Amino acid sequence: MSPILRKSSFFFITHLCTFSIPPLTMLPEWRNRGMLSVLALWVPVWLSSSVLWSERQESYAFLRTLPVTDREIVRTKFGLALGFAVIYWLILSLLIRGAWGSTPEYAGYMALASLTCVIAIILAAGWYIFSWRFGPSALTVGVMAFLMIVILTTWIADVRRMVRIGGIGILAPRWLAEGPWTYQAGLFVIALAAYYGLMRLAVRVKIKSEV
Amino acid sequence: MTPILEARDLTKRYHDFTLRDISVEIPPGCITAFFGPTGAGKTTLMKLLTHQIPASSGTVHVFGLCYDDREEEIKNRIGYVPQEPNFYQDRSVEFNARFAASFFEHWDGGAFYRMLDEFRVGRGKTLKRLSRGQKTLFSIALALSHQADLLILDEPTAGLDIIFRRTILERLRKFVADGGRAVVVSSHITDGLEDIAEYVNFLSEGRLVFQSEKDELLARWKRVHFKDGALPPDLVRQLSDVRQQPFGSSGLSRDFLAIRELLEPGIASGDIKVENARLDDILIAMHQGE
Repeated sequence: MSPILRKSSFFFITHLCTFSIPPLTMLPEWRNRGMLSVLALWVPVWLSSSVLWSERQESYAFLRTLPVTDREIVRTKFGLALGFAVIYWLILSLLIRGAWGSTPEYAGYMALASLTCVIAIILAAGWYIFSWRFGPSALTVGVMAFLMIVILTTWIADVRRMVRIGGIGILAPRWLAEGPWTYQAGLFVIALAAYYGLMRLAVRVKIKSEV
Repeated sequence: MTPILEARDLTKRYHDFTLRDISVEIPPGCITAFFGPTGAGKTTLMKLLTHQIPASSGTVHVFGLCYDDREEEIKNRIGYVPQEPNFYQDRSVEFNARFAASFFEHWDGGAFYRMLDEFRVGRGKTLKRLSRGQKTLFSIALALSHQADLLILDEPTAGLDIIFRRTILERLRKFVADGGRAVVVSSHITDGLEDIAEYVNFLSEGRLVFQSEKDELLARWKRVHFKDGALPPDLVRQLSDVRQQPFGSSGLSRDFLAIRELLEPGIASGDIKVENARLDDILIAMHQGE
């Protein structure tokens, strides 16, 4: 296992615990009030904070003296974020299946989980590029602002109320849920293509980076 | 002799500083020193030579290979000691060593831990609890533990006490003794390095203003001590760094071979004495443009 992967995984796992275990413990009680939606909406928060803390603790000055290329570093870090997002999506899928079975709600929740995971990996890729371009201090400001907005929005706007209000976070899953399964497959293909494109951009940014 | 490292027209532009057109060849079996005042561009050059920062233009070949396609292979054979060691500060010496070791193909853990013990660097200590000198010693131990063929050290003796400084310089001398490996070292002070370096380079304001074999340099630059009146005034004017001394004066001759014949009568009578110039006096004279 790559030492970079091993070291960065620590932050993804500890942050996963921080953001997911408390809601999971309340799952039986909150099942009917959309706690699964909250778990899905936490994915971008979790990945963003994991990227932030792993980047803050990273020492590229040290890595640059070791026999490892920027390309390999970027691939490892992008692979890590994607891998964790996939694992989280799989866990969410099992939870949603367990909670809703083959009901109409199942498709809606699955679509929401897929959409948030897709948004999360694109965000994570963006944060990595931002960090390598502007440094971890700028990343801290960006991610902290994002986290504050998301957390406040989530607390203020109750998930059930958001269903009535609408908005892209709800309309898109509904649209995906009502459409054929190819919509979701298409979403994944587009997301992976975008992620790959961002990874190539990240390699270029990282090679030029001195932070 | 094929150089171990070859840089051509290396340039790095920042908004407030430019390192310009550096061309150097590092031969095997030698210690090559880069001297220069603070801010001359030594660290930038060391980082460019080790491909830690991208060059604005120019090329670097190490072991005949190019970083663009053989970076891992090259870095496996380079031991680098940074001016400001940037390890994982919250983690232990042991963690940092294991982390670095996992990247190198020829890591020698036994040699590394023997050096740590010799340098009295505690394995369990976190990096942030080490002094600057201990961090440098840790860096040196890392650089010497993976069978590198080229050592690049940026200000390695800064922060070291006189005993460890001597130990490190002796290790560098032994490192190149087999004739197949090389050392590149940068420093703003010459203390100790002048004894072991075979090639001397001088950087000033981002330019390589001088490069020479040390022996050739010391043959040309001499400090001339003379009794008052022993040297004709026009000859005194050719000297730089002229100082009053108890028995007369002394000055630095930048081309001793050219004035040697003129001085010989005075040398014979004992009115003039000539000795090797100190490297730092030469570098200061160069820096002042004399």
